[in-house]
Amino acid sequence: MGSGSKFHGGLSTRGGSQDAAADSKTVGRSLANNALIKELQAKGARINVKDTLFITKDKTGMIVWLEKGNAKGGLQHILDGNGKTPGHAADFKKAFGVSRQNVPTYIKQVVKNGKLVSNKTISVGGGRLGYERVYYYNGRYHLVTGVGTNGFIVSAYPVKLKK
Amino acid sequence: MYTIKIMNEFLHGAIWVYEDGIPSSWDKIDADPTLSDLNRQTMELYASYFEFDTNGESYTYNESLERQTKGEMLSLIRKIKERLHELNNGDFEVEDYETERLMNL
Repeated sequence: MGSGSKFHGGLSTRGGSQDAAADSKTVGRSLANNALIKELQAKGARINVKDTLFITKDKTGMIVWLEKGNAKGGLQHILDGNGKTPGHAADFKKAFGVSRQNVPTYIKQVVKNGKLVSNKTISVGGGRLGYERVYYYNGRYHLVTGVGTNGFIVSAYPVKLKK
Repeated sequence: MYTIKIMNEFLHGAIWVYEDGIPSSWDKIDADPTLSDLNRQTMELYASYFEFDTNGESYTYNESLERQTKGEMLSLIRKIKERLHELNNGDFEVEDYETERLMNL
């Protein structure tokens, strides 16, 4: 009863990579002297500046940033998943009306200006932590971010508000 | 009509409830203690593959560890699908994006 596997073919990761790469060419250069990047680096964080799409402080005061990434984390993962999973580009479009090329800007807007409705610190093994943060910005949906110990945004996706 | 997608995600777990094509919540799935426990286990295992500020990178994904533990993950996903099958009275369908990927690692 509905337990069969379905694998959706034809999922492209090229579009996401190209979008992200185009963004990173301009944004990465402009961030080279960003004060937040310098603050992160002073703390020992390994940020790939040339691939960074945005960096900001979230509502908890933590510096978080989004990189172009790859299939496992960052913008490419958010948009297109891991190559087998579908990713969240379509979810952003359906929930927020945001096209894939505008997803980084939208995430930054919500992380910076949205209302923080949940902030969980989650043990990810080996004494390490991750941060699940849920934001309300407008409309009928929340934005959830999965953030690594150092502030790297691994993933982000919309979730429908509870009825 | 709900769709339950099986796909691992950092800090989320393998179980995703989709309603009208958007991630959602549904007490039938979210409040089931067996599914909650299995989902937590997949979340913790999957999250253990991520390392931050190592090897000169903002993050790295430990593919070797994932291969070593894929049997454990496959077992958890099999149990999730079995429990979903028990709960399903025709009001949702299941899409598994992980089993084949993991078996091919």
